[in-house]
Amino acid sequence: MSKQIGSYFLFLVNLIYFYLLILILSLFNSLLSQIGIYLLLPALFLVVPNHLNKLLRWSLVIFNGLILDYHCNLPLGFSIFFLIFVHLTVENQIKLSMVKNFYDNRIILIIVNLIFFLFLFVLSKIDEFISVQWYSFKFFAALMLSSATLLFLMPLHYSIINSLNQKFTDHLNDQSYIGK
Amino acid sequence: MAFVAWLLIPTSWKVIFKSSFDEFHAPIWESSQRVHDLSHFWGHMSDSKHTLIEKGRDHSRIISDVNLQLNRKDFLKDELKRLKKIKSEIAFLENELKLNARAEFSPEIARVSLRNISSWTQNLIINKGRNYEIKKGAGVISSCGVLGRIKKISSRSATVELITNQTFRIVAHLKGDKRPITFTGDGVSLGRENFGKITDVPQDVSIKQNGFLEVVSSSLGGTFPGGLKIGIIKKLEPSVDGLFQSAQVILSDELKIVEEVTILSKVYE
Repeated sequence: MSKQIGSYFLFLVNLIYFYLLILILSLFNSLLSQIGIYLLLPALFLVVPNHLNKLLRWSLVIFNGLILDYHCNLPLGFSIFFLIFVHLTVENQIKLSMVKNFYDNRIILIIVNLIFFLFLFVLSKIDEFISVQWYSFKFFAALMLSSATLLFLMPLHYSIINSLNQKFTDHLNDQSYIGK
Repeated sequence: MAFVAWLLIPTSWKVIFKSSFDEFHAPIWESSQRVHDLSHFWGHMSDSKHTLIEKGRDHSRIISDVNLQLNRKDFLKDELKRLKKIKSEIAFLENELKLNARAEFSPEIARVSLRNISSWTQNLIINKGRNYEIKKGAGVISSCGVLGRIKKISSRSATVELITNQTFRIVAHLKGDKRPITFTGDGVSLGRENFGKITDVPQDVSIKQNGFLEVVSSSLGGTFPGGLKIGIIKKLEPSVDGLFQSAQVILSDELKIVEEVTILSKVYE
């Protein structure tokens, strides 16, 4: 029973953490937009604690998709389905939990970020909702900077999620991975 | 399954969800702006003696200018009376000649609390909304000219759609030419480059070598007063149908750094 309550608390704390994270990212983007840079880091929102049960993990991914759509002005539902799709893929096919090297995790998440950019690019070409004029230089600059930010931000992000894990759960593994 | 469920959720619910999020976030963006101001204040607190002397000198100059203006108070009062008289005469003549009432604008100054300038959408969030009777669709201008229009209103904030958005379309003119042309936003690039495009430019318009033409707003659309700067064009190209010309508009590089904007609310006299 106490374990269940602990996992609910962990879920709630993670909700707040991800919400604060997107707020900080929005403010940071507001600052960076003065020089024409926009950081898009959906991969950050895929790192959910593996101590949560499946239902709570999915709920957290859906919530993250929702706030990502809202703050990045994306079509409502785009990020949710992307994150669910990636979560399903890494959970059942790539078996990310088998990846023991921390650096491998970062590479996978950078690839996820890259795929998100490509999906967005394709969507902008086929959907009128975000019909945009992509300037290739800006597109690649945003992609490169987002990947670089992800590379440097990921250790801090992992350590925060791990420390949250440690606070609210009794039995801990050494690291927090995406999925189970 | 989840995707179908998502599609079945009525749009109204999604809109309600989004607007309640807007209301919820407005104070956060507003407070971030306040923190920014406060950091400026603290920054000035640690100014050196030399800077303080310079600022004191500037301050005394401003004070002397204020005194000068106060001395001109009587003259300005007379001038105001004269202008009011002219205004009432114009109104009388318009009434006599049965001219249509002109759309005028009342300005409302607001501060930018958040910039959301990505490749796919370019919006600003400002710190005034329904509480200042700002209406959806109102034009927004700044020191750099036409900036955008109000896209969404919340109780204490509003979202400004920048002119770089591809969905932004207004009637415009080339400076010195009264024929209407169409202006559309054309996105932002890296750095401070902002673009738009104009279409329906008559064939007889040309640009001198190394010269440029200025694109200005038109009063025909009713959102903006005429003659406000939009941007410049340096090169004209024939359009696909061959009847008109089109061009890329280079917009002001201050669009992304603007901190204060003026909202133009329409007032019918």
